[in-house]
Amino acid sequence: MDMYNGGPEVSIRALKKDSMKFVLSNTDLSVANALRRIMIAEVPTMAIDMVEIETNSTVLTDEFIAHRLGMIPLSSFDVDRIQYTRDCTCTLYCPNCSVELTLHVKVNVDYDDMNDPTIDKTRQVTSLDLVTSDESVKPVSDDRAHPILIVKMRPGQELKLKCVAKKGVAKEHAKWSPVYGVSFEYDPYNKLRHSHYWIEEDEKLEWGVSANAVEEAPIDPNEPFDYNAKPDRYYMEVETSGCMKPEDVALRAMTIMQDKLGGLQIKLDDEFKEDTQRWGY
Amino acid sequence: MNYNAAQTSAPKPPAAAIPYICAECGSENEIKPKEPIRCKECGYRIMYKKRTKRMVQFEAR
Amino acid sequence: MNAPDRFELFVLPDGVKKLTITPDTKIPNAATFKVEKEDHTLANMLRMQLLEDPKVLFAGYKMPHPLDHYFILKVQTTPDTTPAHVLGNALTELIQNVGSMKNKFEMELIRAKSEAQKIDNGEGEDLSSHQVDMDF
Repeated sequence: MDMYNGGPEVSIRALKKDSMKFVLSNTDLSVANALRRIMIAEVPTMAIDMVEIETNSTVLTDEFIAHRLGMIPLSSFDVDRIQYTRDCTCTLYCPNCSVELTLHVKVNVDYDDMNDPTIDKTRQVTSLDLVTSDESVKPVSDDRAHPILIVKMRPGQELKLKCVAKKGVAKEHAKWSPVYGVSFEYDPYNKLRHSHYWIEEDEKLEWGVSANAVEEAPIDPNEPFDYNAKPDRYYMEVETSGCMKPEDVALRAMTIMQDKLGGLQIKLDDEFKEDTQRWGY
Repeated sequence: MNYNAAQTSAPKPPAAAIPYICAECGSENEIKPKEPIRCKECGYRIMYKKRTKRMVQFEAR
Repeated sequence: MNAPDRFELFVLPDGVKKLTITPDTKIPNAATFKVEKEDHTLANMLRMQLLEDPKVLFAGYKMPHPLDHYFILKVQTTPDTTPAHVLGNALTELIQNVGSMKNKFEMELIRAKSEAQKIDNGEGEDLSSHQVDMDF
């Protein structure tokens, strides 16, 4: 039916723990873009959504700390098991739709140390201090030497709170985005003239070409402009926050795309059944 | 004038000693209502109220 | 203070239909589809797929207002078919497309991971063009 015969092609160029580079080809720009949009905004993850603070004598306000806690990426590889709280049958929240995390840090005063100004008594409260009730949902930390800093405290200060992590999507709040960035490029030589560069004299000298240009044939100066050409090779890279593997983000995004389309198809059929007379055949 | 309305609240107990923290020496002082505000240890007249015992909830957004 | 809830971007309230079809009164074989709680992600894909169909004379979408989370898709076809039928075909094509993309991706994943295994085991060809490193 269309020029993209045989369906989309995928070629993975690099696969690392937190990032994946791949090339999507033989498909329309709208499909590649939809994949990019869903990877960023509609793949569900777990993130802290409610914080109950019992004690806070730190230098940061309650809401400041609550905001920081919300932004901590939580391991979400098992998020399919968890329900959305608004869909759950419980009142308020339960282990089926949420995960509880607690944090209690009290920095004790050591009177000898207090007299010595050269000793650094600052206690850093980090994501390692969060205690989870479910091992599959905990702050991402592949490097224990560099955990996520929440707040710094001095002797005499105390922080005690309880967090509830829930499932959500980045459409609701950016903290639920599984990715740090999705890079997206097509037509590195601008053969389609989709980009209009601001130049002083020479486009090639002032702008150059991207790294992906090695994958495509350079422009042949004798070639006339092909006005019928459509974009069909998309160079993408996904970098995740560590909450799930990059290949999982892409796979889940494709499943969500299928569900969106399938759901709409069902609704269309329903409309059809309701009023077959109106639509004739 | 006889307002026959039922009394909804009993007379408040007068002895409600709320702990306050002195701004200078940091010692805890129990102050009753109508009592002059003065630190029992250093005599300072500025007091801080302690954080509420009620749990506060926040949306982490 | 006046900000609507963020979940209104995608949660369909009770009693609201996801898809509403309004046949066009003035133009023959034309209809307007209103899809609630969806955005350009879905709308653009549908529109582009409809434009590939030779029986589609007109296909376009718009979001009337960014604060109202729905889009309308206007379709006009040749007299031998209807907009709803053509949309159904577009959806089927797209679902097949995405399904095939997913399958190819899964196969590529298996290939990429096995290549990484080979490098780890010291065998396999020189994949200097592929920077695959396996530390899952």
